[in-house]
Amino acid sequence: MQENRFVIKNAPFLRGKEDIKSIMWTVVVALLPTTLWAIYLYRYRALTVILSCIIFTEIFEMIFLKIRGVKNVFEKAFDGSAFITGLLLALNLPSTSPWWMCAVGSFVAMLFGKHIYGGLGNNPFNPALIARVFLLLSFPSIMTRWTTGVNLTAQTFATPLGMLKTQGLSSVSNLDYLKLFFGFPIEGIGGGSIGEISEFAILIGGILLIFRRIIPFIVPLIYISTVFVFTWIFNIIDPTKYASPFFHMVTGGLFLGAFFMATDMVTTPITKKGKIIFAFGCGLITSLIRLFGAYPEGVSFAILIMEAISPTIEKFTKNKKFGE
Amino acid sequence: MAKLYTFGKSGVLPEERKELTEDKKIERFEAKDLIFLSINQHIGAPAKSLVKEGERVLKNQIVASGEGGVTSIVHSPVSGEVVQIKSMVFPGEIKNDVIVIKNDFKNEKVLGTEEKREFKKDKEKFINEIKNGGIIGMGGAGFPTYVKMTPPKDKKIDLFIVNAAECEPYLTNDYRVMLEFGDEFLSGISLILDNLDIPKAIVGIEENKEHAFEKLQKSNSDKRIEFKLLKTKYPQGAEKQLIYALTKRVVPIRKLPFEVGVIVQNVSTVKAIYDLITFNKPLTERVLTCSGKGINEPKNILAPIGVTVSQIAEFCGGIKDNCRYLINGGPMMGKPFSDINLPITKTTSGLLFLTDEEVNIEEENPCIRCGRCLSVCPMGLNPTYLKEASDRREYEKMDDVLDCIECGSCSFICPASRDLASSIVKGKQKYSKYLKRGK
Repeated sequence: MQENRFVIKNAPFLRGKEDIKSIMWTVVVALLPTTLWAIYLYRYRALTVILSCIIFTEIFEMIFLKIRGVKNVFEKAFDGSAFITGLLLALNLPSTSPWWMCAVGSFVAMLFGKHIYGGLGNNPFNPALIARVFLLLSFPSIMTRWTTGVNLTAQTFATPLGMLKTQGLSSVSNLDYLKLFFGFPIEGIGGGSIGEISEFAILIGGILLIFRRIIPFIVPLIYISTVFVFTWIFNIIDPTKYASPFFHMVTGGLFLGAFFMATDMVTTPITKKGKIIFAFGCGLITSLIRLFGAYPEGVSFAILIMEAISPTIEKFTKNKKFGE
Repeated sequence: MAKLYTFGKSGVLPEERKELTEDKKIERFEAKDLIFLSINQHIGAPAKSLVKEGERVLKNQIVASGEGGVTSIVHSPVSGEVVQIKSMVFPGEIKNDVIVIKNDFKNEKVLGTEEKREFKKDKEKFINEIKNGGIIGMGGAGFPTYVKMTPPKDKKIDLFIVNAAECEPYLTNDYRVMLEFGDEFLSGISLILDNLDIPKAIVGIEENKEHAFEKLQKSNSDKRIEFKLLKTKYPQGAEKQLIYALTKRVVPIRKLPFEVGVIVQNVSTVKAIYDLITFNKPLTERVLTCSGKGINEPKNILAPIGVTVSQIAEFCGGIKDNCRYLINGGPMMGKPFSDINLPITKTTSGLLFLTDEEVNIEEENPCIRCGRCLSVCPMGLNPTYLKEASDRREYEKMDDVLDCIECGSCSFICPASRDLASSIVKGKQKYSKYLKRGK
């Protein structure tokens, strides 16, 4: 019997089956209903945006992995994390976004959102959100050029949240909330980012993630209910000025943010109490921006602001030890 | 269906893999020509050899004994000659003196009777016998049993818990002991209750051993003993978690079970106490599970302490070519062995011969902060944070490492395959040294 035939590794010798890849690709699958609905509504335009974002994100991911001297570049680049960033970025852009803007966004996401901090697991902000906000500030006109779903002409319209902000409550008082919830296009109304049009599609994916224990249900629940309660209070105070809470549920990026971005593992608090505070803060800031801010929508800003204070939240929400 | 007890939402569900040996009767393995007795099989001060090379020893004779409050005693399982006292390297680079005894197969003994002896209720004598019988916790930790049985005077013990959870995958030794030595096991519990003046005992058995649960319940006549079924979950058999699952009593942080009036002992330990008190037999043998897909005939074995891994492997039909891991203990908390010439000790509950198919340890990836390690940690710690702090020796952030029970649930669940538990265990040693240095 030869010596050293046995491998020395650290206990435990049995490990669970879930790995980074399975988590990341499950998130991608959960985004499929939303993605497919976007492609159905916006056809080749959505497809161009989605493919450009994913391809450029993967390319920049590989380049920066290589520069950082990471081994197994190809394997790491397809662990699903960069794919999610690319897809999420695409879902946060208008259908009319040109491919080169997608490329710029992908570059910003990978460099300033991820690799500059040391790559996966070390980034303080969600890379897709960093890129979206960068694009919103750099190309404000392209980033607010909305079309009505299948309407592939050049004609653009304001989103319901935009109309509410600029034209007042009466302009959106006749909207069919159910149609908005399921994401059917309404003539003369801008659909918003390609991924935020159908709350229903997002919900399907979100429930999958909750069911697979990849995201905790508490985060979207608290985030969405906070927005609901907050907007409801103002709706009660002055129903002629403030929209119904149901309006706020079915418009903008609330669901996409609550299910797919406020639940980002890397950039949100790791403790359960921390997650609750984080989600509540997101809901509060989103509502404040929507009701009183200069921008019609506040989901991206709300999540980024809360991500900035996430380490602090985490520090003050230490778990109770058993027997303490 | 009886009510299932458990310790809360933490913990993990590894594959049980007990089917390899759960229906296999315990086979007696007789000592071969050489016995290797480590002098350090327990927690506490190591024992010192009392014998010299060339000296003749008898079966059950004390060959090593320690001094101090927490220590133990080692007896020879055979009669024969001490041929060598040498240093052997055990897992974790721990060097221990090992007394090598050449078996003369005469079985001449100093202690032990075939006939049952009467033991009159006497707490002090009982505990003293346990100390001199070399009995230590046989579940894996090896904490000297007499120390557990002598809590501070002001602590009143009102409950004795038998840890029959056997939550480690593969292991079936406690299960087989309960099935095949059920009466001895139950008498052992009664003896402990009698002598330590404890009014009540609870035997906590995991659901996957329901057969033993039913059999024991049927044959038991001692009204003080209650049986409770535990949910099959890891680490159900961790002492504090077990106490909580069965009684809802919470052992305060960094305190011992007697703080809540409880003493816990493992199944094999209870059986060893029975053998000692009834037949005056010190602890020189134990039941262990030899399992895994890397061994030809997985078995439950009653073996003398000090036989080697290679002798046992031969008894089990030999090691297969695809065997890549040798583990002393269970797969969750066991220690990796590299040398088949190492002996088994009093705490060897299992010897696992595992193949690559069974062990799935991937390369470590960066933490993605998914928080799974926090939610499975039965102690409510933040394993990923403690690993970082331990690896970097950031002592001011490391205090919680002392609360880690080393169960390995965090490493099990980590999707980035990070060796959280082993880093924290190492951190524990670093931090303890740091505290001793006086900061």
